[in-house]
Amino acid sequence: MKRWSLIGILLIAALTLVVGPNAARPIAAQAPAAKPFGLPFAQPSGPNTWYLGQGYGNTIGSYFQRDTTYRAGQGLHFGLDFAAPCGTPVVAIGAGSVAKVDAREHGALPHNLMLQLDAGYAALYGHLLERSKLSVGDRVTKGQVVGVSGDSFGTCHSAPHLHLEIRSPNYLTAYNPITLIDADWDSLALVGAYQRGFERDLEDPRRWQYPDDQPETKFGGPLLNNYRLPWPPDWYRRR
Amino acid sequence: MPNVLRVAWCVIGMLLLAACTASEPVPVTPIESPLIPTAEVFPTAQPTNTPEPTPTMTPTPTPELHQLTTDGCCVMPAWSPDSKQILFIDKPGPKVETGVYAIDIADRSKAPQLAGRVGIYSPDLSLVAYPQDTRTLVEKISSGERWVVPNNGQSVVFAPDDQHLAWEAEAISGPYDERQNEMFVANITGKDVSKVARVYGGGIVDWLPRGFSLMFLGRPSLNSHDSTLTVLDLRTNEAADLVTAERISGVRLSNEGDWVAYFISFNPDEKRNGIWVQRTDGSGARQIDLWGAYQWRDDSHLIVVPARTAPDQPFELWQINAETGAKQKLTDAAVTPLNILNGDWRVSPDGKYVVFVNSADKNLWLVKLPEE
Repeated sequence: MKRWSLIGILLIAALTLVVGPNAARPIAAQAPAAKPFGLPFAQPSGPNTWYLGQGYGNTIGSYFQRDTTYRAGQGLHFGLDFAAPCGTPVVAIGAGSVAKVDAREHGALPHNLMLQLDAGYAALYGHLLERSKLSVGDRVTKGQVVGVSGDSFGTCHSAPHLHLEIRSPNYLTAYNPITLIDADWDSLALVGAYQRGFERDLEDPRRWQYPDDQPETKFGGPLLNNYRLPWPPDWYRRR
Repeated sequence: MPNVLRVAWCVIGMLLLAACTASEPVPVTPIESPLIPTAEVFPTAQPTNTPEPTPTMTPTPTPELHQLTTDGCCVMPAWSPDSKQILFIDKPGPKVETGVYAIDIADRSKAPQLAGRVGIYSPDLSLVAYPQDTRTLVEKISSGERWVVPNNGQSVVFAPDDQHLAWEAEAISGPYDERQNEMFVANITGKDVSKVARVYGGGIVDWLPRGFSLMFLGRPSLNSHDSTLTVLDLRTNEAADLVTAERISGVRLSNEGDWVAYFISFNPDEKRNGIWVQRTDGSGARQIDLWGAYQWRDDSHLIVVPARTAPDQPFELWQINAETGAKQKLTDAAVTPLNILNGDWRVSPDGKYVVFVNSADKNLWLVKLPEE
């Protein structure tokens, strides 16, 4: 245990919060900027249908796999995971056209689908159960079924989920989907089996700790979360 | 994500300002202990479902709301065991030390105070575990004495008696539900290690607050399609199976450990999907007719934040009596606007308060619940 420095204590005192003891009301949520896309499911979330799994960005899970699964994406989880039973229909988040079907270079096997969206983005649907029935060049409308969800291990009981990425048209950058998909993310984040917190850099523990405050992913770029002092630490990697 | 990590986050909250007691580092002496396997525990029983009674509505009181922090601070708040402080990891300035900071809810105008190092604390706050290089250390806070836990640098879960700890050894490759996970228990110094159970695709949920029992979840064998939630009495080596299903998630023990809550999802029999409460002796399974987040208020009342259907409406808090199924609305969205960000909320151990991250300003807010 380190001895607390006088300087540190004084600085803390200088940061005294001006918060009164009286009851108050939180400020109302600001009206969000228009988001061009919808959710990839037609059905509402629930225990029979789907719910939010791993979030986007500097997640604890991606930190532990920063040198393996997520190395190409700077150690970030460069999409959103939605837990869903195998065979759940997934829909186009926006209007566009089919750019790629089962493009192995984009991962998220056993089957994936890339859409070029009219709004100026690309969307990758990963871990689909089967090859999409669509063909390259097909037009899709927002809400149209484009495939069915599968399992990243191909078993339908290990990790059944849809992995959804929103990328730049050249596929080199992945964006935070919750900033682009119009949904009640606060409500969706309430429920689920996945740990919601983000990995901490104890040298800057407030950085990247909120769902809407996550960095873009530059594929092939350097790791963003190879922290000297992480929390949780690398318990998981020492076996 | 192994359950032990989730448990670790919960235990971070077990801090007091007393943890600030200064001490100097002392040499670390490894303690070697043989691994002594004992019985594997593979349960089979099914719970008995209890019909849901008609929910009852009571008049909605007006809980108080208080802002606790400014400048978008902070996330993952936890409570001190006495419910007097809210704790969170922070570094409030560039030259200020990172650590666990505490807000005294009786003196909210005071700046958060540094309460201790980041680590996993024992229930009585006398011990803290943390990593160093490739090892896990346990430190006695009062003396600074430290020792190595012989667990290959894994996380630990302190037992409620502060005399034992548990850890996992989980495979890190292969399908999640096929990864073998062996669970170990030792005394607090890391001696007398016993392998107490093995599952696939699961792990430790928590220690039961009373007695000497461990709750864990997982597939008992690779031949089993479903996972089972089990309570293992480590004194008698007797196991009680609470529920079996393919996907059991969100397991939360009540404050005294008499009840547990969990949810089942994607079951082919859709009537089983949803939130359940059940006694930890296996009896009294009851399905809740709400879907959302939940935490225990005390040993028999569950607080639920239902998923909302309209995003422009604040969340509400509901209370469920696990014994009777009676349902009570604790807050009204029109009166008490709860905008919870990222599912980040915690009920105080005494059941009187909820702290949450407000999605509108990303600060911590406190709501005082109506008396039971």
